[in-house]
Amino acid sequence: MVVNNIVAPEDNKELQVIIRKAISDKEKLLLKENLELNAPVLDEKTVVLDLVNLNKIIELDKDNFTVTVEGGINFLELQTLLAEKGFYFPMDTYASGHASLSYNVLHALPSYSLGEYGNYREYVLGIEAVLFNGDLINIGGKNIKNVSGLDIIGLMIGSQESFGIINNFTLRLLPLPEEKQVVICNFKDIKTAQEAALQLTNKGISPAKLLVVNTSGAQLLENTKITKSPLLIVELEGFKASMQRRVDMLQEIVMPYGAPCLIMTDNTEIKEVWNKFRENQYQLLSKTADLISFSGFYTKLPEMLTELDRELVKHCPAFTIIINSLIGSGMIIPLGKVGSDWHEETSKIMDEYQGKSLDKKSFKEPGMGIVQARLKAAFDPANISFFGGEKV
Amino acid sequence: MNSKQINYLKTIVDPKNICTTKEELLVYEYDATLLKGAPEVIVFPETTEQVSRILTYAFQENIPVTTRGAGTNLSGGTIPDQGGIAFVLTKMNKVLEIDFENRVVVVEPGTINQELQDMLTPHGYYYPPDPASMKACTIGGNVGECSGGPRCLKYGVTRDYILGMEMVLSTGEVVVIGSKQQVNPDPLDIVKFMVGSEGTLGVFTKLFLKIKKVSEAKKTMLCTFDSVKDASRTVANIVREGIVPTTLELMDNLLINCAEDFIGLGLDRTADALLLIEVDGLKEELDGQVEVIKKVCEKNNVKGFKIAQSAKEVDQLWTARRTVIGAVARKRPSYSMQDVTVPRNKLPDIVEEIVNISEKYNLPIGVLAHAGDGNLHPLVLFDERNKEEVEKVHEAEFLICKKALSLGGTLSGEHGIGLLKKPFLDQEFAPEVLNLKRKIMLAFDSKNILNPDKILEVGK
Amino acid sequence: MSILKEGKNYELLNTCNKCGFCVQGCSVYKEHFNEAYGTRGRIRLIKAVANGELERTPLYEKIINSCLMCEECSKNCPSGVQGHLLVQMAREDLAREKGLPFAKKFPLEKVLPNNNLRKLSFHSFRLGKNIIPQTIKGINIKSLSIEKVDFLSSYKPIHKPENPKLKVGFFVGCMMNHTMAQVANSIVRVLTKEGCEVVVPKEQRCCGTPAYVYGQSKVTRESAFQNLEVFKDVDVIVTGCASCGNMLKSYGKVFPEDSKEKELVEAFSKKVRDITQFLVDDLKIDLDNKQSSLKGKVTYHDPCHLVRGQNITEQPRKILQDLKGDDYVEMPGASKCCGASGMFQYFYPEEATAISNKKVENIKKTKADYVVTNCPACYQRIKGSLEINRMPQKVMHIIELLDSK
Ligand SMILES: Cc1cc2nc3c(=O)[nH]c(=O)nc-3n(C[C@H](O)[C@H](O)[C@H](O)COP(=O)(O)OP(=O)(O)OC[C@H]3O[C@@H](n4cnc5c(N)ncnc54)[C@H](O)[C@@H]3O)c2cc1C
Ligand code: SF4
Ligand code: SF4
Ligand code: SF4
Repeated sequence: MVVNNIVAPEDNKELQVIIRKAISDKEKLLLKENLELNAPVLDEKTVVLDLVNLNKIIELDKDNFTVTVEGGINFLELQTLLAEKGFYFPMDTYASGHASLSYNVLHALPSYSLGEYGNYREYVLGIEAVLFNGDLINIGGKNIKNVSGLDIIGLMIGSQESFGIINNFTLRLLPLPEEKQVVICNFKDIKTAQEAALQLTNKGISPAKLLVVNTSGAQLLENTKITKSPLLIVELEGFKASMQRRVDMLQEIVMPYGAPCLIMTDNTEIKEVWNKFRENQYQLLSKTADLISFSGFYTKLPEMLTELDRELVKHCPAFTIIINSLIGSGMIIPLGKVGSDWHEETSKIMDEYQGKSLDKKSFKEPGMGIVQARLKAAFDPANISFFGGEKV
Repeated sequence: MNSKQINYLKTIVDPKNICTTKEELLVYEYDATLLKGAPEVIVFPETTEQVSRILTYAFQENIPVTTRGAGTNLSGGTIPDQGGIAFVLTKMNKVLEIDFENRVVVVEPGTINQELQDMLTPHGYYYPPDPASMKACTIGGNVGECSGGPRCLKYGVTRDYILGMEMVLSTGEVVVIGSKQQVNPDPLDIVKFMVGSEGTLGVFTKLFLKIKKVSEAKKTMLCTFDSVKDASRTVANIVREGIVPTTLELMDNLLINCAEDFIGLGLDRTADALLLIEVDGLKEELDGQVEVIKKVCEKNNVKGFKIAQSAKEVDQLWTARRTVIGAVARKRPSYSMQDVTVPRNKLPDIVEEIVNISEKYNLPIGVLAHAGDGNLHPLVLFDERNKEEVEKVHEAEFLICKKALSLGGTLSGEHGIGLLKKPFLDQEFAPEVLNLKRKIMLAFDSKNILNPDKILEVGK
Repeated sequence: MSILKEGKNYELLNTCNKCGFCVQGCSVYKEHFNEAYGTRGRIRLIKAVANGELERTPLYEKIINSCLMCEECSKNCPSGVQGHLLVQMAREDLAREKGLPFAKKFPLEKVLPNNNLRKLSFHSFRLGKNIIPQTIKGINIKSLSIEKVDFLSSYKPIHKPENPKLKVGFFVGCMMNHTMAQVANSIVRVLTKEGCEVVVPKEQRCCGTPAYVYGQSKVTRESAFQNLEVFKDVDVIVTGCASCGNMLKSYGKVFPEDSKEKELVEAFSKKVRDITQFLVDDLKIDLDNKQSSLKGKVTYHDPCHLVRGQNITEQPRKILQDLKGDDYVEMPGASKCCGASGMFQYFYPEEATAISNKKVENIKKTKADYVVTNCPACYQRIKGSLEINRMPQKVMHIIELLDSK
């Protein structure tokens, strides 16, 4: 694919100029990260925005526990920098190592810690953004609470580049947890792994991350000590004083399933495991266009996953399932070509268990069509967004 | 509205749910602010279908509709200042579903926050948003304002606990957004955007709430200081030490005395400031945290440091905190409460300014704050019947808002803009932002009939 | 000028900041979900009348009269606004400006305060009961047992103990006098057994609650003087009726500030005790070695005028918990009004029935065999409601547990 129109603004003014030009020239516009993750088909006029130059940390406010930072900064890099200073930004996604903060937030990429640490909205306190109507706006600040008339920040998060580009963030930070441990357990099937995970959410152990993967998902941790089987991956973090009891409680829950567990206490080792997991998931995702995101009820997940794991083989020989069990939501990533009934079969199973799946193009709640079209028109009257570009 | 319109409404809901007597209109002209404005008719819908049919008709006839829960908001959000329908959802108050295993509750909007909590407590669960008014306010109103409460430093505000809803748009169309599951796979979060929309975007008819398991243990501390400065510095320092308490509440001397007058707990009436601090978690975690907090307090010249010993004592402290706002009326008949929020380390500055303003206008002002969030509730005391004094109150409040904004703060942390703070909004937002907000409001409510011109002037 | 605009009253009206904290606690609001029937709305309307924005319309009158005087609002109000007192004041104002309808006026002004007329009317009611339906307006008439001869008329002083600890005046109250003579006798017996000399003045008069709550303080003032006179040489005055106790203890509020009469009645009020309060706090009776007259599960209903009116919650519970032989369980919503509230049950039967049914529901939840309370009005209302709902529980006055014969 030829991409001949990559632009990398130096500051917010330049970003605004680029967007205004796109409006007057009727060009489409998208972030560079999409080239890898969404494999869009571009025409030569499409503007590809690369935020690499917007990568400065503007202010780390130690009193207020906030950081003000440009949106182009690499997500993982930001986290590492903050950790060195004793601060914690708990969102963590498969694209952390590859994508900018802006991309992660605009697409609300699912964080592994979602559930224990809430969603992006709780951490994004202020933004500066260039909207697709050409306006440069500045809202919020360092205030933890803000209900000053309609939550535009909330609307921009997850807007998938259809309203504008956030170029600057003020984020709420947390104190770095005293201690971290990761426990990985081998289960005989995905059903029992998920059952154990559910018990863990309800015992006051408060895992920071709680993932279940199917056997093929275990490959995300290839070349580590981990044996291949459905896995339960738990990250515990918090105060030293309670860590041992939390690990004990965890083991007590897992024991009846006869699932052997590997406990990691070394921070470097933990970091490597996550780097590997993230990186491999990213690579898988960048190779497919048939990803399915889904959510389900805690109580129905064990059965639903079992059936998905069993039935989908008919439509694709290998696929990875990753579930964030804290919130009962996950994704199915096919490894290779899928059959024509792949989506249909998934929907059928999801329906049976009242799960919800998001097929990639849907950007609409039923019944909200007109409202969403009007919303889009308010932000993007010239329809320059590459995504969500239905006729207004 | 004419009698034909009112008669038509009577074909949609039981006529006993349509009120037009002067007596009843009088009691729906107010909320918890001093503002007033009478509706032309009061309608109590009982089902989603009725809500939908009434809105369909109002849309067709261009009738303003002001949605109302318990009417305890502090921003004039339920004042039907343009007449029309006062749309009161207090009869839609059923808890429809409690699913502990999936941690979701489905309620009608008129459900009282406390009554829901009472149903959850025996099972070891709770719904975290806990506005001080929880005994009085409805979940619908909480969602309308994105209410917070003492617990939200650690556990977040209403927005973080709304999974989905059934809502009726201004046209009467019923939509379901979000779901009963813990997340919505769609990244665009219209559900969260509805939280804090102050009745301007749609009328909620069912709400899907996330509930949480009660923590294993908690500890409540009561610390007194000789200066508000010391207390606010303590607040900032505690978080720096790596501790996120569930609660960090501050009261100044005036409020300590009001609370004492009402509840009589034996608080130190001479203290200049009091911090109510609570930490929760697993039991082993707490002693260490309490120790650190105590050290921080000591470094900041704490006067008295006390750990509540019994559940009863904790309850009493909380009752004192929840009722102190009203208790100020024992000093002067009227009070007006602001809701400005500033970055945490700017607390001392804003408090200093409030003290100056209080002296300048010769008005007693008490300071109550969700200090951990930098969310202040300065309470200005006066007598509503004294017009001159009322003028002074307006000026003083304007200055407080201005100061908060100049410190990088915001007009409202949890009470919303409504009518009360509408005149100040252009101090916080640039014209482009206001314009955008206007367009968004019209995107949802093209005729501007839902709580018309609240938050900002929309026009037709 | 209307009394609504007078000094302290008007001040209270203006202290309501419309925070709404009182609304959800108001049982009458909970039947309507309409502000007009909640405290905050009532206060707004009283203020409107005071300020001349609103006439004293029939609807206004209905709203003002549909209050239980349960004091729930006053307890919940952080600002110290006494909702029930404002309603009382509004009723006083209505009575002055518009007069009471005959149905209320006659019993309040003429019958209850007059001992002979009162006896006559209870007597004829007892006779008439046989020819009327089981319930009138949700009130279980048939279950109401009216004594053939009231307690006061039949009472014969029992021998006093030697060296009595205290001289106790027993204030019976109309309701107990005419419907629960056995309870009145129990009170005399228990007090005597605990070493008190009990005197029961026959000329004692209705405490004045009904007149007061319907805005006839004048009648209440007359009662106050009479009672002051007949109880002048006892050490304490004990009653087994929550509403009476509440009234006797607060006679001061029906007299003008700083008046000599106020001082006099306040001295009288200081001597008044609820029976449970007297036994537990003053006599400190030894409960550990006493046997309850009941076996099985017992639960307790807090009469409004005891729990909020007099702040008495611990004493009756202590008796129930400490007595041997019964098993105490707390009832959910124990302190919510039972729905009787004097004439309220007659004039607002729908609301009253719904409120009582909630009480019945809560009783059901306790799985108790007995419901114990401390007020004849509550006793009769709960008894009637349980029977209407075909529930097996028996209602007892708390003194009956201590009077094991
Ligand atoms: C003494 C006191 C203390 C308070 N303490 C706190 C506190 O600690 N924290 C806090 O956040 N707030 C507090 N409040 C403010 C107030 O109680 C909250 O804003 C509360 O959420 C309002 O609920 P309500 O049912 O009274 O709503 P209302 O006042 O009736 O309505 C509030 C808003 O929501 C809209 N609305 C209501 N129902 C619906 C619906 N079904 N659909 C769409 N829109 C709807 C209304 O139009 C209005 O704009 C306090 C108020 C008082 C008087
Ligand atoms: S009476 Fe008291 S509790 Fe009720 S609204 Fe007025 S101030 Fe609030
Ligand atoms: S006294 Fe009881 S019934 Fe009357 S307004 Fe107060 S709470 Fe309501
Ligand atoms: S007797 Fe019953 S009705 Fe009367 S005050 Fe008591 S509880 Fe309320």
